[in-house]
Amino acid sequence: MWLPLFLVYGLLAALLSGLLCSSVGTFIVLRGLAFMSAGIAHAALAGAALALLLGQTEPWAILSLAFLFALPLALFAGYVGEKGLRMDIAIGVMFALDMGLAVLFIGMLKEYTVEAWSLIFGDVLGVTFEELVLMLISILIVNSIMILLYKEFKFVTFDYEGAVANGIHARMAHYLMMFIIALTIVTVLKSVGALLVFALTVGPPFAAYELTHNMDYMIIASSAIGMISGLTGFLLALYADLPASAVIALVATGIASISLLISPRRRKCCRVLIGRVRMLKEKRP
Amino acid sequence: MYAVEMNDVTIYYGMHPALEGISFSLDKGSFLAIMGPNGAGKTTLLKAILGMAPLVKGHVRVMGIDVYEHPLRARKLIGYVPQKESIDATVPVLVRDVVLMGRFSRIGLFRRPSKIDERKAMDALDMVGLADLWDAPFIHLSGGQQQRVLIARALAQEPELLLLDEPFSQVDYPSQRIIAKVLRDLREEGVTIITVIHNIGIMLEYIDSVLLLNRKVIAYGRPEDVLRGEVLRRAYEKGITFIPLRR
Repeated sequence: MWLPLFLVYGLLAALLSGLLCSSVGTFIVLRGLAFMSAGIAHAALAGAALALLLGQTEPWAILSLAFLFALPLALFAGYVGEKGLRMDIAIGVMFALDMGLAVLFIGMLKEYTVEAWSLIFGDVLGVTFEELVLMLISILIVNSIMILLYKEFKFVTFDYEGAVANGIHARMAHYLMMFIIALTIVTVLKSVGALLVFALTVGPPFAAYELTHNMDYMIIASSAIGMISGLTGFLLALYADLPASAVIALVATGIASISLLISPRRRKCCRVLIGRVRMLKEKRP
Repeated sequence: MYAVEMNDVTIYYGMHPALEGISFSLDKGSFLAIMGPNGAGKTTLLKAILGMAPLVKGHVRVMGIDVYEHPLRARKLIGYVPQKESIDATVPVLVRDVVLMGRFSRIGLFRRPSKIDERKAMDALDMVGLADLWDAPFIHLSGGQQQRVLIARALAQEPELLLLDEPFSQVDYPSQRIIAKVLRDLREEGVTIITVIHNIGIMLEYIDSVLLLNRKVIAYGRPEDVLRGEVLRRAYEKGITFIPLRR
């Protein structure tokens, strides 16, 4: 049986988006950068909307302009974090600026409004071959950096000051981490959308965090959960004729909720809860 | 050549001076305790030795290397044990991950820890008496054990200079004794040690010199010369009772 090509591209895009977001998302969650990933998504949206406003509909042109907007925010947030200042306020200001620009550019669009909406909410079934190739190139770049600098990433995540004091290339690792976060979010903008990218960068890593105390396993588990979310969400959406990125986001957050309940970290809480319930039952006549 | 040499060092955070005109030199293999009230700039002094505090004026040399000109080269010689509170213990790492981090500057970029690195990390963990916790999650450890693991991380680096920021703070008595023994052994091996400390009693017999700090050097010399009521009063001002010193 042959599947239509757009379905194959969609399925691959959902899988790869899940993999990319959730592997990089491990560092987003552990370094407390969840708000930053939302900010970057909206900056990327402003850049992509500007590309459409300029009449550029080629995937590489949209991706380039989106990246041009997203990278400064990521590096600025990285700089603020490095100096030990309040990152949330700095990102909040940039977030407002970029969101304002995005709304302005989209409002000024006379054509390509469908494309603009797909960047906000995601359109995994609309992913083209070129976009898939760009996604694969991004995965190659992001994963190469993650593999080559894994030990440095681990150190700066655990103890940034200690990493600097140790004499490793901590600043380089810190800013390269910001770079791959920006590249990841820009890459999945079309398939997942600026609003729902958050679910894939935070949901699977959070689920994995609840299941292990080992960062190596956390990244593997997060990537697996991300891919499962992408695949399951895509198939469910296809079956029920629902928007795919919304279902992917719901599956990812659903898995995160389940892992919270079965987490070894929370078993003590569960035991206390079960104990209370038993006590109440025993008290009943 | 001195282990540490500071010459007229002034550090500012924004518009506020943290350290002003600090000058002192420390011989190799000696043990220095830094004391002073809260906000005196003790941690900043350690960071200046690492080349991590914003230098406005002066020079800092470690083993003859200017740390602000060649920070990576100098930091490779320095083991740093930060205050435990500055670490995010919720990050999912194992004890072995933390100790191995001490080897990273020696391993270099793009390379993974070798068997030798693992052995050195294990030896360092053994020195602080926690070899059996090699595979344990860091978060499962008590405060004292976490502090000892951070010391093991610095030891795994095989430093010539060891900097410790309040290693005895919020640490139970057994851990304090083990940390004190480790520092004593290191001093005997010729490692230069600088520690920020509040309760100097536990280390008093091993300390060669004390630097009393309150943004400026109030006093620097042998413990019996510095730890005297009238000298301490100049750093801590009032509201402190002194128990006569016996070494």
